[in-house]
Amino acid sequence: MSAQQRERGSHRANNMTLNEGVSSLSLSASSHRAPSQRTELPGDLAVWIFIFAELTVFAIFFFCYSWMHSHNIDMFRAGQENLHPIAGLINTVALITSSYTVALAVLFARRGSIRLTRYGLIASVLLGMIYVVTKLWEYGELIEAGFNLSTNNFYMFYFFTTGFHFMHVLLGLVILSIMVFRLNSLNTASLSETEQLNLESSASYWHMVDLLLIILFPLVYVL
Amino acid sequence: MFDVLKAEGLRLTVVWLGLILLTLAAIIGSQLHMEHDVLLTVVAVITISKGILIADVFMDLRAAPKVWYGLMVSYIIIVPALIFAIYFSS
Repeated sequence: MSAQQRERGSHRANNMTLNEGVSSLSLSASSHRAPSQRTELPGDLAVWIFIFAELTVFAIFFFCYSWMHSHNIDMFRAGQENLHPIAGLINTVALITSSYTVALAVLFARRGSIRLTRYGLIASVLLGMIYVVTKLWEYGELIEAGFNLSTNNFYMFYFFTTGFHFMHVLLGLVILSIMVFRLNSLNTASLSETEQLNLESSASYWHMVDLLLIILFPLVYVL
Repeated sequence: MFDVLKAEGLRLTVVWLGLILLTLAAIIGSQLHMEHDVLLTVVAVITISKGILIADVFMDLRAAPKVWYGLMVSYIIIVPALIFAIYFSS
């Protein structure tokens, strides 16, 4: 039996536990293990397949952007001069910090503190909102100055690639907000294994969004 | 167990600070009017380093099965390397 099959079996067993109505089950000893002692994939296998599918799509966008930049250097440099590097920096710092607070939330969950887990997630959502507001401001400034998707290849790639990433941030914020509401409605002192798995899946998705910005940021604002 | 978790929290904080400093270093580097190839190399190293820190510590993939960790690290190294190779060739 492969590791993936064993993992699927493990997830099915978790769902069966939920179906049997034991949603208030406390974390087992294995879930309380420190991260360095864990040997499983954090979160659900399906989420990781989705994450790698998304990473592949973004890789194609990054290659296309770089290729167009290398063949239209003057156009891209002129376009980059109209961007706001400080906005890019604020967004990057906000998402890195948000990723950090999500990682803390997962750590608190493993420690068994729902209250601190909830605070970590709320902080992450608020930091993500900073990204949303700053990005909308930046889009507004560019559109007001007369730049849009059809201006030239630079703006087409800029709006398309950053817009696609922006949509992922919005989806991540919705997922994290759902996790906050789920934690609010819990009556137990600690997370069930299913909720722990959901939290780790949400966190993994949010880290992916952060990772993508780390590659996107130098392409758009630095180089 | 709580000592281990406390150490993990400290590790997360140190990595977060490192990521912020690396981001600032990339911005400062771009303002120093370095040679284009030098700037590309510096930014490539910074980007790959930040990606590996996120995969290792924030995503906690170091403890995951090796195939998943290997896939993520391959992505973090190969994709930026190809992107910067395209920039180098221009």
